Amino acid sequence: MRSRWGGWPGSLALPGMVSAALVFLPNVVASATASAPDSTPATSGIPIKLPADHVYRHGVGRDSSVTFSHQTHVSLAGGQCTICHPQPYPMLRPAPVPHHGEMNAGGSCGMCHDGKNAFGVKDTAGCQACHSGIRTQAMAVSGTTAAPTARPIPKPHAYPKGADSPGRVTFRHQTHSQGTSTCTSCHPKPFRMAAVTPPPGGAMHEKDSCGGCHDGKKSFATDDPDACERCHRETGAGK
Amino acid sequence: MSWGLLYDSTRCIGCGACSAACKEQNALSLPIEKQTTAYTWTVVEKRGGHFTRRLCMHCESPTCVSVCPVGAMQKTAAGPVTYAADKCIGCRYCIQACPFQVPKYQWDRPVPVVGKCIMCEPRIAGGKATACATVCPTGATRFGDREDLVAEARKRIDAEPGRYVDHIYGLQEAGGTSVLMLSAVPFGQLGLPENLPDEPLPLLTWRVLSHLPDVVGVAAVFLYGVRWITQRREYVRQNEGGDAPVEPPSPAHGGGRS
Repeated sequence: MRSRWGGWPGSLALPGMVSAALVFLPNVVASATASAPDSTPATSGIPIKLPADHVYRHGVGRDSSVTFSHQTHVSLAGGQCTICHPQPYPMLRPAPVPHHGEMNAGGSCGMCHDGKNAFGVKDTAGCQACHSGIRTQAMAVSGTTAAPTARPIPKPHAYPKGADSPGRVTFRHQTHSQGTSTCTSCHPKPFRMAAVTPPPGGAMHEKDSCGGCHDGKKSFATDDPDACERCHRETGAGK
Repeated sequence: MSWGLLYDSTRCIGCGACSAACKEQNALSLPIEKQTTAYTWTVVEKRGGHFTRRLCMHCESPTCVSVCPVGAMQKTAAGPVTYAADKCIGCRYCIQACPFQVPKYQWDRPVPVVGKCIMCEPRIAGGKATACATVCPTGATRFGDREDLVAEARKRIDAEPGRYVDHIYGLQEAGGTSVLMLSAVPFGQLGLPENLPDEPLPLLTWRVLSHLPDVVGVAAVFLYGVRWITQRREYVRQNEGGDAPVEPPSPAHGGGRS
């Protein structure tokens, strides 16, 4: 095409303008007449390969890790990848580890898990809906929705007797997980889950420890002189 | 080797993963709009119950490259039609020239440039498939050597003639494109132009413009001859008319002032 005028630059404005004029008008007509009424496309029978599950490691013994499954989150009827991609979750590089702080504020998982569109991330009675450990791909594919094995309630903590303590204290999850208190009332702050937090000492057991709840309002106060024995039982780990 | 994309409309479920990955790969601002814009380089549209992807077709002989006065658009040997925003002067010739209406303008910016799919040219250079093909969960968008994709498309049509119209869009259109498409319905119903010639569009004007130098040369000689004859006649008429003789024009400034 440029055999005779090989030295001409590649960007010839004029030829393209003219050819554009030649094709532009019929093109517009074609696209205007092409829009037909919408109907639901048949998507059945199309093999869909979703990305593998993401395991977010968390907690002691990995039994509170979160396994995110595309299978359970993508509705194949009206699947829209764009709800979660590329924001907040990128597709071409590893997804960031979501944190409860941003989820609770309506970001990340909390975009949908807000208690309305899906169970809420602040819905602390159901921690195990997500923190169910590392699930296998097979479980996800089979659509297993049964609650995974519940994490057993931790054993009582028998704190050693302090020098000026009237008696040993044994903390029981059993008695503290009733009523309105949930795992997140105490975890991960002020009490870490990965290791036993040392017993609070000092100014009548500190407001940011047992005293956070045992303040005389939510529960009996730690500085109530009549209540010492409710925690400090001489017999220790018994009962 | 020239890379290409094969988009099979019958395998598309309209999930939008291609659009999302495109946004991420090219660091384009959200949201993903309904139609392609300067910030949304590919979308999935639904027309008449059929999904269709909008993206740059990456013509083998692109009109946008032909018209660009500063060479911002380039057809690379690897297949992509790339765009250099730093060269662009914002003249919008490419927008007018494209038979598929692909390049879009940043109308909302004081110093706008154009936006269009560049077939993930940096990824291809790094040996990776395009972002859209990488994330497509059904394989509706496939990346590969264009020759292989043509063979694959032909194989699919032959294997399931009832599923497809017997046509590979992009094989011939406008001289061929790096992006190929398969569909269950005529491509006009997907909003693609069906009236494109099979030859490269820049060729249309080239046929005319390549003759212009000849026309100019011949016309120059002819008109000079006409002028010489008329002047000569005038000279002869005045000399034979009897008044003072007039000097004939010297050849040195023959084509100049009269």
